[in-house]
Amino acid sequence: MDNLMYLYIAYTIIWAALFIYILKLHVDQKNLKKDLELLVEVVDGGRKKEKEETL
Amino acid sequence: MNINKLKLPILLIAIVLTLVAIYMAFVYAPPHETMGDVQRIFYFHVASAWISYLAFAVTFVAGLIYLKTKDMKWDKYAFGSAELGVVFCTIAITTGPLWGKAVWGVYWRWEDIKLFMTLVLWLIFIAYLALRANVHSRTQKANLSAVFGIIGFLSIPMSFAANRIWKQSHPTVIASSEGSLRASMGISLAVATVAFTFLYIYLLLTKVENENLRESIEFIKQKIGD
Repeated sequence: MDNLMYLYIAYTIIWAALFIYILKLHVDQKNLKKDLELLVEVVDGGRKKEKEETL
Repeated sequence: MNINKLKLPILLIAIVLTLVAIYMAFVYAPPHETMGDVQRIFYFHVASAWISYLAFAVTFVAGLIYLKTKDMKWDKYAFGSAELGVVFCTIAITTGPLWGKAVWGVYWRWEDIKLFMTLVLWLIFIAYLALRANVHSRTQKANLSAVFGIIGFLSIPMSFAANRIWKQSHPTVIASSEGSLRASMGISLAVATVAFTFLYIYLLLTKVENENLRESIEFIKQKIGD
């Protein structure tokens, strides 16, 4: 294999690995924020219902 | 001051410096006299290896602080940094053999202590991540991983110093006399390392932010369960 091919493969690995990891972190963050918002809504909804039942 | 407000400027600096580092690695730095253009792997290979050492050192320090204070914040930094260390170490141990194949004619030399110790370091922190994934008690997870991270860090001096002590085939980047880099190569390497350092800081802050969100979710779930 041509020596430049090794250079090309190495740089592909470096940027692909970093891109995949950064993407994974941001997708995780988006999903976690969505889950948290959903949970907060559920808790708030439950509290509201409890209040209405008490009244 | 909210540290997360620094994330965007840090990311912008990382992107600009990375672009400058790529330019320097391919245009500013000359091809190596004997290895030719394939030596250009070295700029980001060495930067990745250095960042993995830095990341594992942060895991070590954060682990020590956690064991002393029992503040979970430090466990999140230790864990985030260990994960990043594995990412950068993976880059270093996959790009290194490509350079080795082009220059030595073989991908790996088992007799080279530096290569072997770097592989051991990588495996130790893979085990660290596996351990964290399989312990469910939050406190136990933090305690065990702090101890594991501290023990794992101890293999770094061995990996770093191996080619200086045993004078093996892996090149010594920062040498006192012979084997030193040309100035333009040294500057290009320094810029690549600084660029990756900013990228590491940005990724660590993002990872810790994710862990905080995960903790909030667990807390609310527990409250609902009660």
